[in-house]
Amino acid sequence: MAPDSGLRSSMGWLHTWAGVVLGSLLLTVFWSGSLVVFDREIDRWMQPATRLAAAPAVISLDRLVVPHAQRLAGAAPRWSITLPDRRTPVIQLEYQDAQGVSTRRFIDPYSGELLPDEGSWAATGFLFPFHYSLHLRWRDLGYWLVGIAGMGMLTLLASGVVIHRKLIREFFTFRRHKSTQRATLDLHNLTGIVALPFHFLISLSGLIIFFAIYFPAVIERLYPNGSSQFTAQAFGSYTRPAAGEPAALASLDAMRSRARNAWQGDEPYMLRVWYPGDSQGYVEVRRTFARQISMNVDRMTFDSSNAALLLDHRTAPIAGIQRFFSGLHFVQFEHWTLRWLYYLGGLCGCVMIATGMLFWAGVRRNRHLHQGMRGVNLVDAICVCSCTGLILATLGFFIANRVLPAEASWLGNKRAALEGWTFFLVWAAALLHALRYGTRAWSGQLMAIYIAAPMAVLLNWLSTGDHLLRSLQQGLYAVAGMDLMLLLLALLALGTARRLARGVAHA
Amino acid sequence: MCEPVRHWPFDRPWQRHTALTLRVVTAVAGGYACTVALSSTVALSLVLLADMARSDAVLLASMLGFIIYLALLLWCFAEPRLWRVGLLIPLSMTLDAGLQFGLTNI
Repeated sequence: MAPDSGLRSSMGWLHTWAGVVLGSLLLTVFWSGSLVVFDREIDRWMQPATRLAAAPAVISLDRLVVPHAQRLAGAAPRWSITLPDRRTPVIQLEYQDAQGVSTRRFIDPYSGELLPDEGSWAATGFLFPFHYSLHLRWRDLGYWLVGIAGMGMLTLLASGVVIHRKLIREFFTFRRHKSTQRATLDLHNLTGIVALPFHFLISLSGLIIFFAIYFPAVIERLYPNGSSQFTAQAFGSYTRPAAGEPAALASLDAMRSRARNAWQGDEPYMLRVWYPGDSQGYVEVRRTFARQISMNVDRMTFDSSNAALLLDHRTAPIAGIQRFFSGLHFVQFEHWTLRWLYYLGGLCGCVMIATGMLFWAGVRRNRHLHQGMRGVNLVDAICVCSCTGLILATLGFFIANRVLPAEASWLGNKRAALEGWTFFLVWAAALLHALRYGTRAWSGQLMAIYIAAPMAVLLNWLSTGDHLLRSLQQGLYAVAGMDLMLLLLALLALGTARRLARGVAHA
Repeated sequence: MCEPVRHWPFDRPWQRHTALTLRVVTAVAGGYACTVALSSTVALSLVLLADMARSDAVLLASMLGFIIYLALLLWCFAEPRLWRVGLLIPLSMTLDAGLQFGLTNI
């Protein structure tokens, strides 16, 4: 098992060590990624004020949104409106508040009423950025760590295929009743093979989304005067400075209908007003991608005071390929079957990564303890922390969302930030617990999941009145789905804990 | 094992560890530097030879960059002779110098 003794063994060495070093990072990215497939559904659960019926087909932005935007974000350098769709029943208004903090408010598309700020970043605001940046903003550290995980995943998949030559036979092998160790490896191979193309493409497309972060030097080389010129050419972004003279905003609805005509009936999904109230302001109108995989960058830019068309950009062919890979990763198209398959593929990846780490530790535990090596204890603790600990952290995040009072504030952190802190603190506590109790921490944390998950369901009922039967009856499928998944998680945790207890009793 | 076992060029543990560390660092950092140099070369060639728009060339070359990096990483661990892996560094420096020359003179 060394890099200079034949292809299979050198790939085996690479697979083993890249897996151990990157395993918990990969599991974090895969778990958050799987959840984020249903980010807007989780948002409904975490932001009960947005649990509304499907939005009407025709919405006037001039009447419903512009007054709110001018009142809330009149002084902001820009604000944007995202229109409702099948997964989001509300109009979304985003802007920077007076302190420069980016803020998101929701508007009821029927009444035009501004919904109360519930103080939660929810899944789209917390879990989604966590998936690609780990909330480590310092010098893009989080992006780079996730990038390393992505390249690591590609390397692991390629080396895994080399070492598991008998892919087909291994696919049909699952010796569930043999030793735990044997079953762990079989499960690793099964989940690895069944979703191999998915895992490869999801990692590659994730990297391709952030090509500008990972390969800035390529852009710098060909654009020595700065990357903004590249962004303008590749993605059609328009820019001009503000004039400092006031001017009224022209009709956004008229711009939408002009864009709709130019796009053969495709609706705009988002409008962004730059320098609102300025005579040199402009409005960017973006084309929907609900019915295609590619997240096109078709956009029309209008003058904000006289509505003159400034730029009509259509996605260029190669930019289209980059946007296709992005769309493949972001799953923003409307397709429920595929959405569930993405979710299952992601969870399959979690099982593959977790069983790989468990197998590594299982093979070495007794030998290393015998030799007096302590490293295996650390790997055991990291395994526990990145499997059950991560799930507990997520549940802590959901529970904090239901129990924190609206005006909660601690050490200068507002409610939304406190929810995020709960996630990280529960995770840290899980690591300490795992370091203290070693492999015995598994059953403790599994039982904690068994208690915490139904508690989240119960708290949702108590705080909003939407119990499972009612949300099913009223067609709140996002809320019902979230509750059902939490209950399923509790059952899985209980089953695993019992199986572990049996295994320990037999041994 | 019946197949002939290739021995390490250096047999002492500290020598083995040094060789391994060198290989990992070269694979990760040298592989990245080489990928950037290769991708930039590909992008510039696409502009000069295939008359592609600059932005499209950058996009295509960057996307290929991930595949290039993957291939280089795997090769760095599959190649038994460490000195060959080490060639990545002079290779990327040469490419970079060539690119600099090309960009300033064309």
